[in-house]
Amino acid sequence: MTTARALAAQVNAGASAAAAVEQSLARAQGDTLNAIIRVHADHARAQAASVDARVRAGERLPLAGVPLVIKDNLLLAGAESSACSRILAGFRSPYTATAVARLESAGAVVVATANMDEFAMGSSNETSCHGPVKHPKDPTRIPGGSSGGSAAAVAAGIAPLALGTDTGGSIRQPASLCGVVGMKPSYGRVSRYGAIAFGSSLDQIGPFAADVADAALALAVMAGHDGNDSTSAQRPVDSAELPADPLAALRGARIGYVAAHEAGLAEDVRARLELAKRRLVEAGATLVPVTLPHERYAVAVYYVIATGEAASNLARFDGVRYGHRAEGAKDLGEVYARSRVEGFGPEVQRRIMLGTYVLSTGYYDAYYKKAQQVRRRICDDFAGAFAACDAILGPVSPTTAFKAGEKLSDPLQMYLSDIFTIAANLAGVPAVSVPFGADRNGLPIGLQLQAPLWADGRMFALAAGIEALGR
Amino acid sequence: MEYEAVIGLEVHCQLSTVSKMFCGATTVFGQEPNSQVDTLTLGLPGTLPVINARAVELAVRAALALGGDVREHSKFDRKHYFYPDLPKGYQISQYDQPYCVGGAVTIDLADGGQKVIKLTRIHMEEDAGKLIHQEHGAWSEVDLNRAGTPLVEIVSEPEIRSAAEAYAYLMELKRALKWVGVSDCEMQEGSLRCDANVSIRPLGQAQFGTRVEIKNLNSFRAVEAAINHEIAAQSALHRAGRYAEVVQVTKLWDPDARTTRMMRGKEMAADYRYFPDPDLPPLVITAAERERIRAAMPELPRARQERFQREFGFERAMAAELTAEAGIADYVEALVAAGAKPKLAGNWTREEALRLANESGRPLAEVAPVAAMAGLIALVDAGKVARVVAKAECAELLASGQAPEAFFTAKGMIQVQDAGQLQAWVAQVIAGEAKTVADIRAGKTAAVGRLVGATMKLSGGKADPAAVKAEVLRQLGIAG
Repeated sequence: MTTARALAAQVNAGASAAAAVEQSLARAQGDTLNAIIRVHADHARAQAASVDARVRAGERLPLAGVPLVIKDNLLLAGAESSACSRILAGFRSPYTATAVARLESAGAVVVATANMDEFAMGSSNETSCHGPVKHPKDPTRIPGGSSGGSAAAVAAGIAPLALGTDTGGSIRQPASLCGVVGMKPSYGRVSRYGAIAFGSSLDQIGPFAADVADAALALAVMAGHDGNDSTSAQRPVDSAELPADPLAALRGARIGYVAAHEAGLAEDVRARLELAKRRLVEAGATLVPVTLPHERYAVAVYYVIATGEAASNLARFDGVRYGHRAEGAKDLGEVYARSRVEGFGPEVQRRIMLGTYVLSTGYYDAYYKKAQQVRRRICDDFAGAFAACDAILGPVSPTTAFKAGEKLSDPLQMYLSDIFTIAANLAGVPAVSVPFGADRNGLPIGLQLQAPLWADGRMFALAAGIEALGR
Repeated sequence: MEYEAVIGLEVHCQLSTVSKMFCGATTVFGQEPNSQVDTLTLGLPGTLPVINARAVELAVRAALALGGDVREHSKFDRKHYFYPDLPKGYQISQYDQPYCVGGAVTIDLADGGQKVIKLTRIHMEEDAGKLIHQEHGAWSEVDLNRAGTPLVEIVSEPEIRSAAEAYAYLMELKRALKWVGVSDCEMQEGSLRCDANVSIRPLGQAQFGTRVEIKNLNSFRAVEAAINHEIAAQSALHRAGRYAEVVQVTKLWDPDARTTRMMRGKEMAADYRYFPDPDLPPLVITAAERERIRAAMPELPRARQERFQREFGFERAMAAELTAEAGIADYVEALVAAGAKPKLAGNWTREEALRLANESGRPLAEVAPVAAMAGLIALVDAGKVARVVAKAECAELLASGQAPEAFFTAKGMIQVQDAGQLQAWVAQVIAGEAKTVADIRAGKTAAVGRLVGATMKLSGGKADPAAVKAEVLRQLGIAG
């Protein structure tokens, strides 16, 4: 499939954005994976026409005519957005998320909305009110989650770019399982304005792409301070440019690894990780063993902080002003209780209850406050590790794509799918999943590169090198 | 047994900003329901709070006006509860790290003394919306115009001992907050709201009694009445040996029935699940910022009141009245600067200028221009216009826009200073009032007033009454 860069170059040189967008719309409409839940044909055609007009008027746009799929928790003015939850059924946003708006003003065209786990809570894309997404290579398997639809859409060639959100691995894990690049930026790099919040201190919007360079380009366009998000950083944005020779960045680079990560990995995943390390050394990089002593608490800390924030963020879905409202409630208490019980699926209800519990008087200190203290230690661990290396290489997921239904009834097993990705969210550091081959069944394996806070650009340069080593 | 009341007040004060605490929606009072709202006010998904710098500045002004310690570091927390007036399901407030700690309000006591009521803390928060019940049918309606309006909550220590002290505290608080431009402090419009915590204890007992919280106090008089009502109720129970029936509850004041009714008991106390709002970075108010705001503050009302007492020799009540608002105090000082003796400036402001301003609803300096008022005071002070005449003509003079001397000259009201003319008028009156003169000589000295009055009448108001009296006494050979 054509990369976003190549497509934009063609459109900037006079090729038709409308034609590129029609192709993408057709693929989205023909989606057999349930990756796409909504096609925005009218919007996409109007936007493509506007791109063509701008190019004719002499503008050169970094993403001219590039079809874009957005996760269902990202708002697009006039379109429905529901985070794949019944509670937001029929909700149409009056405004567009900053990240989406920035991509569109750079020439990208939103063609469709992707399926996801309800409110981004899940690691298999099976909690969606629109049903599960099928893995592009094996329909009996899951694509990962929560941004499973976005990952599958890029893997299936529906669009060269997709957006996801990553709270504990929700971009990197499905990217790894589907064999595409998925990146979680430094916390504060991309505005969260217009993303339906899950865990506010963890959430970041990030790109899915077929290669690292496209992901770097998309991030460069979306990144930067937004007056509508007080947590978005005022720092300058890294250039999207990567070295012409991807291996050049690896020479002399210090690549950290955590020995403890190798325990519990599926055999083929471990083998690919070992291969990557060998090839890195051959390419001139130095391998540096590092430790993240508190990382083993990351899952526990995460399920306190993320659920606490989620219970708070989801309090606004009460059936009073928009979204689903239960019929026939007798009083206000019933409006709330029944609307929410009918509107939220079981996983979301489980997390709201967990989060409500950890924030309760008498439990706050033991759970939420303690979790924040451990989170601080995890941040310190990363700072210590990055004193000795430029980036940390490791697994994204312990396994390749698992079977649909395999972990759905066992929340703890499902939560452990994110064991390697959660720490980056807790520490706020950038992390990317880069395809690095496949297992014996041909299922993709991704490797994770984590970098210091704000080293998003440097991380992309190293990731492009690893991508080249994996080919 | 004698009882002592222990009262603490929580005052919510709306900051006079154009837009809301965390978004750009406007805060105009009295508009169509749900016209002062935007996506954040409505709690739409994906919206994020952005702090209003003007609200922080006004909050700091409030803190400095009340002598509080403005903290360099504070944070915002989410306070959760489900109610239709709260679109996000939580209110953004400051829980355990308020931006201001301490402070004090000095009140004047009836016995002439003063009392300092210390403040526990002041914190910033956003207001909730409003429910309107059954106005258009058997349902309730939600108006979110007020939702998100910036507030400061000012919490006093439990150092207030009577309803009268509570009233004085609120008056003093309102004076200070209006003075520095923080708030309109209009209880009727809800820009000032007060909850009272009231308990009693036998006089001399150190331990606090059980406290009852009273809400829905929508005027200063309501605060006073509700506190008195609660003190009486708790004291009666104590006297009857039923003090155990006083339990920690929240009550609502019913202003029509002048009584309280139960709102919720302790067992219904909500768990607000406070936690730091992850959407907002910690609030930093640097020392430089705080001092910049302090430097722009006017002299505070209490300091000005005390200066008026000290420098102008005003009685406390007069000094308080003339520093009720910054505009009044400025006016008095402008009169003094224009040459009026301070006491005269104070009295004329109090008795005439303020009355005219209140009657017309226009500003002091507009309804009683400083130059004209100072000129009038000077004429009276120099004995050129009788005080009683000046007061009677004051409104007309000020409305006319004429120079005071020209005005009174034209009306023939400039007092005659000619001693010979005065002697002639007095002599003429004495000659015609033989009976009155006889009364005076018989010891009815009060009758002198009748002669003075008659002379004033004869002079057509042009004589100076004091000079007339002296001349009458002189001609009758009575020592003055």
